[in-house]
Amino acid sequence: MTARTVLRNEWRLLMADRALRVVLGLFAVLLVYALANGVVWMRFQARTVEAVQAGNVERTRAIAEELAAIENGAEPASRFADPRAPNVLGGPRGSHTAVLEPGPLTALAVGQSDLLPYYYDVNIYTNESSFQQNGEVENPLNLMVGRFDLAFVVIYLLPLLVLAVSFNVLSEEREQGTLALTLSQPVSARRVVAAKLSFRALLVVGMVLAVSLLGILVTGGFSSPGRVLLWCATVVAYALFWFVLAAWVNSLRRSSAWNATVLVGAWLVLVVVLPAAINIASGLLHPLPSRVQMVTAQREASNEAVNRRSELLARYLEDHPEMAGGVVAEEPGLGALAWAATDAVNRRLEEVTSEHDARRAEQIALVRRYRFLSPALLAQEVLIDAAGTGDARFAGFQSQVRAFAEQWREFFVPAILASEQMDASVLPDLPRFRLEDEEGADVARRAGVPLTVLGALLVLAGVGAGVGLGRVRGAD
Amino acid sequence: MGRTMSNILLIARRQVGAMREDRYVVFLLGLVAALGIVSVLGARHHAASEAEQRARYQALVDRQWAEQPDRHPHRVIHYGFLVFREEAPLAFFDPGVGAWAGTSLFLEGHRQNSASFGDARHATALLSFGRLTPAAVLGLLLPLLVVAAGFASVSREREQGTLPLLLAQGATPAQIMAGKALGIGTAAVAAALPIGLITAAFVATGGGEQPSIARMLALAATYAAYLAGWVLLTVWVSSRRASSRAALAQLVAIWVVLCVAAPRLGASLANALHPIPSRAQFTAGVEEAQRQVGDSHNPDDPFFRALRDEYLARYQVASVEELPVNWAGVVSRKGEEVTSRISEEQQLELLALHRRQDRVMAWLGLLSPHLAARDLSMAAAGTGPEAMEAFRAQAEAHRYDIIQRLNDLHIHEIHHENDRAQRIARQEWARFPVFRQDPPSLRRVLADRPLPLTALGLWIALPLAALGLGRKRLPRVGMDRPSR
Repeated sequence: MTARTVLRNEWRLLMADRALRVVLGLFAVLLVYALANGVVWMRFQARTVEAVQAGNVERTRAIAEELAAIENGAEPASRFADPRAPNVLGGPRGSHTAVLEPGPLTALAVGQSDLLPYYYDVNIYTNESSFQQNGEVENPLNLMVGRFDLAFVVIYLLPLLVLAVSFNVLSEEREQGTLALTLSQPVSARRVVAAKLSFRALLVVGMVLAVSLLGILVTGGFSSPGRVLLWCATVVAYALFWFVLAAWVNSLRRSSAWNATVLVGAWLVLVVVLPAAINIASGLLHPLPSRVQMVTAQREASNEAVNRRSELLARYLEDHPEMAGGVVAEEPGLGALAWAATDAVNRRLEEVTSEHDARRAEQIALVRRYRFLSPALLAQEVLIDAAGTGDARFAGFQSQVRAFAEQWREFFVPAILASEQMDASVLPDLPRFRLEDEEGADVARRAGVPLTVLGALLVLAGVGAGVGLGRVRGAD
Repeated sequence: MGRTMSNILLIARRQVGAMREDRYVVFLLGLVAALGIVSVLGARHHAASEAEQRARYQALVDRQWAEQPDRHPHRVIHYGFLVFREEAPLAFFDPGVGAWAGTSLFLEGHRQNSASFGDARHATALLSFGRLTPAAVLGLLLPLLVVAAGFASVSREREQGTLPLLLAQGATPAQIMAGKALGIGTAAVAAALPIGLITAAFVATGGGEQPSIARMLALAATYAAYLAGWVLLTVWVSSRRASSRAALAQLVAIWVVLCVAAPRLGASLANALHPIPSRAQFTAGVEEAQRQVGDSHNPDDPFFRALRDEYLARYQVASVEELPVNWAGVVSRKGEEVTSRISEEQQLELLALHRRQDRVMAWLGLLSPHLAARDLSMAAAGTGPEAMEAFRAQAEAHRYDIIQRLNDLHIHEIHHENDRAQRIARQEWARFPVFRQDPPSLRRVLADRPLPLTALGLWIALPLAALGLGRKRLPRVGMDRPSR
């Protein structure tokens, strides 16, 4: 009995089972629907990014126009929004929107991209609280539910399909009395199970990869081949883990019903219960300081700052001689005083935020430690990271925006302190946000550990299955 | 009648015995109950510390407001104040959409800030796996326990050949199935009861605001109906399948579709039918609408010029300096009125979109009782979307009231000459109203949910009808064709 015969028989057997045909067909439909969903979301993000960037151009154009008109003797349209004033040109009116392009494989995994902001309006007033504002105007109910994307299908539904096609791979032969016959041939139980499962794995994983590659093709993700490779490798490793687990359970020589309950139980624990339990545990062991505290601290600081502006300005100039550039007006202007207050508030906010971030880092460290318990957590981490929609990419974007905001301030604050006016000549020199997106190598480095652990889990289950199957005899 | 009851009880006892022998069911029951208890403890702990902080800071903010020095009213308008969303007393049981909605609002003049600091933004991607809340244990895990406890209830009797014996001993098919349902229900109750009791104990002993008994009863009724539906469905599937294995496969598939896939499918469908604009689009829309009305900071704006002419005509004077009221205050008041109206209109338009999306989900609840039960659970716990919207609307109304009072002070108490140098005495600040939250009543949120209520009703009625209609065929299932 060669592997080919086994494969041919398997195909016939699988296709003879009407329920299985229905399940496979349904799975294919869900895969395509999930992909379509992701593509729609990615296009929406791309459109938004485009609109926001057009806004940048439009704002600069309007300001350039007004500055030119003023130069020709016209009055500013409103004295509260005179574009010559550095706190207007660098303020909300002239703000520059920093943008994160959708991750290359967003269509496959929405990840955090519907929760975390992918554009920020940066101006001289950008501070830590700007990063706390709610991102999109999404329906909270939908955010709570999460997206129906390929990553969801892979992590939740793929294991169930795998279990459905392989929970009785050996037990059924025994129950139907064909096991003894099969094993009387010069073939080991290991070989039989390996052949049967390889065929099923080829079928199931092939479907997922085909739809993934289709999505990547449609959305142009092939420009980052490293991410594509990582995505495919993770899908394969995760699916194989469930196949091998099924083989292991089958090798224990129990009934098909027992296999089914145990495997569904394993799915429930690994995919549903453990992640949710880790969520609760991380919140209990390392509770985040209330954000209420953060909001109040900001207010206290701004209230206090307004009252002590002159004092703060003196201290600011002492701390930042480079900002003053030697030109401070004799009588500090209102703009300079206001700036000193703004800066004091920002410093206080940074203190509160860094405390908050430190606590959050502890929480994340705990989550990262326990994620090794669940292949679903490991797979999810790598999948969304490969897609460019994971926490790390958004954190990188945010820290670059923070640096850009600093750069923006450095451009305008000296003029504010000196009570100077600006003109059209500064427009070409305005700082522009240029994202340094993470490299494929960064993603690969982050994926190293989780992927290795996933591989180790796979090997562990494989060894268990191998040993167990070695003991299976036809006479069982 | 007595015989019917005793037969049913006998079958139920038989089912309980079978489940107790099945170590898997006992283990799962223990697991679910333990997870439920842990989740209640965890959620309660978190909620208590949050509530304490919120109360402390709200008191601080209120005190800061009242203790302001003598100030110009317009300065106070920009000083603004904060309100924090109070969680419903039962939010620890079912946090609903709370983590995805803002928890605080900074209220100031000239603008409606959107509620910020949603908790979810501070979590990691792990949160997409969901949180182990008591509501999730009851709504997601307990059905699976019911399935595990009952998938073989009737089919195993058939496989072992005991079904004909039971029938021969005088038990009718209806009695058998009622007994089986009762037995499986015992397992569900055994797991749910500790969760319910510990929740009730916390509510009874915990200080702070007490939830109404009605809300607790509504929650209990929701989950009772939801789980009863699962029990009936399980018995029905088990009675219709020749083999236990087939029954298990089918029930697990149903659970996956209804509880795991349906919520996300529903949300994606709602999004596709009623797309939400991006924040950039939304703010651009608001700004555009504001621009069309006029700029209160621009003295030459036609809208405000018309207002000035109207005032000059009304008081029969030639210039705004001669007005008996403070013109800057009048402009501020009018500007506030206009911008608030526009923002509110845009906000309501957006919320209408959200509600349309929610309605799609409500209709889908007819197909997936999990959606219906979750919706009713949030509503009963006071953590549904309308609770978040009520907070926003009430905070906005409060903001508008405070800002316009300040503008009135500006108009009538501040003389236009040397405007900025004048102050309102500090005693005035303590006279301003304090923000009070008034969450939507249980009656209202339930009345708003005819679809989910219908869905839960159907969820019980349909399997019950199927059981009733199919009872005659019970002895014949699996006879006409070989079991697979």
